[in-house]
Amino acid sequence: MSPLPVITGLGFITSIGNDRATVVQSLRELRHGIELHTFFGNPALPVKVAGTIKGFSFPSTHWRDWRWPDNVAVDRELVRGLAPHGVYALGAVQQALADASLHPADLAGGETGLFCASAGSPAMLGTFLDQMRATRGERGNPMGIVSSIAGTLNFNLAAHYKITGAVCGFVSACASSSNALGYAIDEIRLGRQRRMLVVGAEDMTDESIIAFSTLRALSNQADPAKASRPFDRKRDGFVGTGGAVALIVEDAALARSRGVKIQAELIGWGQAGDGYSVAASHPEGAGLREAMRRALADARVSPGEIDYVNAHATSTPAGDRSEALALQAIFTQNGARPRISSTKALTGHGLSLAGAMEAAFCTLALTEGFIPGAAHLEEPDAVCEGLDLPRVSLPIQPEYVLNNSSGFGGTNVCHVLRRAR
Amino acid sequence: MHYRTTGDAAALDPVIVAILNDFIPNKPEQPLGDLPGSTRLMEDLGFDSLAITEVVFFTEELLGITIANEEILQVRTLDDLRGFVRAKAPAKNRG
Repeated sequence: MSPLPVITGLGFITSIGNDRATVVQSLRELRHGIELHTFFGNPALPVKVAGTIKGFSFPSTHWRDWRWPDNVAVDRELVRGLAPHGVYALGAVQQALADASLHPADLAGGETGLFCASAGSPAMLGTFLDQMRATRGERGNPMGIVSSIAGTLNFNLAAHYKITGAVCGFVSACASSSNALGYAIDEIRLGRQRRMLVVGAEDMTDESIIAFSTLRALSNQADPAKASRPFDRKRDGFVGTGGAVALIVEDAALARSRGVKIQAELIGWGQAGDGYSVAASHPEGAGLREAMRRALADARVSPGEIDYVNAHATSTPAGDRSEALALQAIFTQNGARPRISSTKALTGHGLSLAGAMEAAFCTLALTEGFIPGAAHLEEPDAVCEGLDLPRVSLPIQPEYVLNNSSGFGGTNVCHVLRRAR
Repeated sequence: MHYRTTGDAAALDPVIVAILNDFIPNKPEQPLGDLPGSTRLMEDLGFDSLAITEVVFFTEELLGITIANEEILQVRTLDDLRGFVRAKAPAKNRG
């Protein structure tokens, strides 16, 4: 029998809270983290809001200008190689270690691996390339590459925490950290690692968000309470956010031997491609439907046993429709009616961060005994008929939850989590 | 500032100390300016090759100069660095 991966620690730097208690409260009370934000100092832009990260400030790409809360420890030597999302990640990892009753030194020694996901830092990369262009290639910041490219997160965290187990970064756009968590499950199951640190993070900068307006993917709503409304008939695009979430995943036997609380069991995952478009989701959600089917099969759980689905739904007209159809195919057509919500209504869309963040939210639902509601939903799209989208969070203890993620290129990844036994 | 006004390259010494302080991996017990000129950057102060490249880049940006790899290899001590920067500081600014 293969080892059972379990979650023993969580850390949050998110638009809805920078600690576990605040995040739980935001999810229970449906408090969103979206604020008015002027991108590039240009009020003419139609995009007016973002899921801001409170207590952090990155007014330029130079670390001397950066500020973070006092309870986040960032060495001067370390910060020079970081992107803004690396600072968020340190805060999240420090919380997750404390939550799992681990010391940073426990990550060294080879039994712990590190899987990360971020898109890199468009802002840092832009500054680095501008320097090189200005000097016609004669000089540039030596830390320019390691602080900006996709992989910056795992480069920095692996070196800082002296991790000698498996180290890898995952790049599948908005499914990236779901892939990281999925493959972390496999590392534990295969006995390759006894513990995995999984981190998803993204910058919250003008460059990281407004790039998506070229695809007409962002909401133009100026009301922070209405801009992100997954599955609503009037949804008009997603709201960008950044931040970081860290999860400690361990072999259940190791967690029990340490006497640490098991917060949730990771009992299955699945992935499938759409094979359809570089950016648009399959119109009937074919890949996501197959990913859900595979995850449920891996977990040996029937659709009727799932109590809650944390949907990927980002509030885009096409993407939410695809997911609703996929959910109908897996659940409604099999006589199952789990509660469904997309917590992106509260947080905004965290891109590479989204999957890990929402897996952590699912863990909170299991440990704290509630189901997050579908915030900002006024009039569900007709395509959602038959789906149970509760308008408020419910004080109901879920036993099995499903976490959905989808990314560019039609990458779809789903996890099944079970309440700790 | 004194350097920019007078062109006195010796005025760059405290600037060099400030740059080193910014990038030094481990703070020494004594202030950097009080250490003997023979103090070695790598062996005594803990600079690794990456930290050295950061010091070089920052100095290049500050003084508008270009430092070649072979020049970096000749700088081993605090005195080497002071002498090197004085020699490389733009001549047009000197009195």
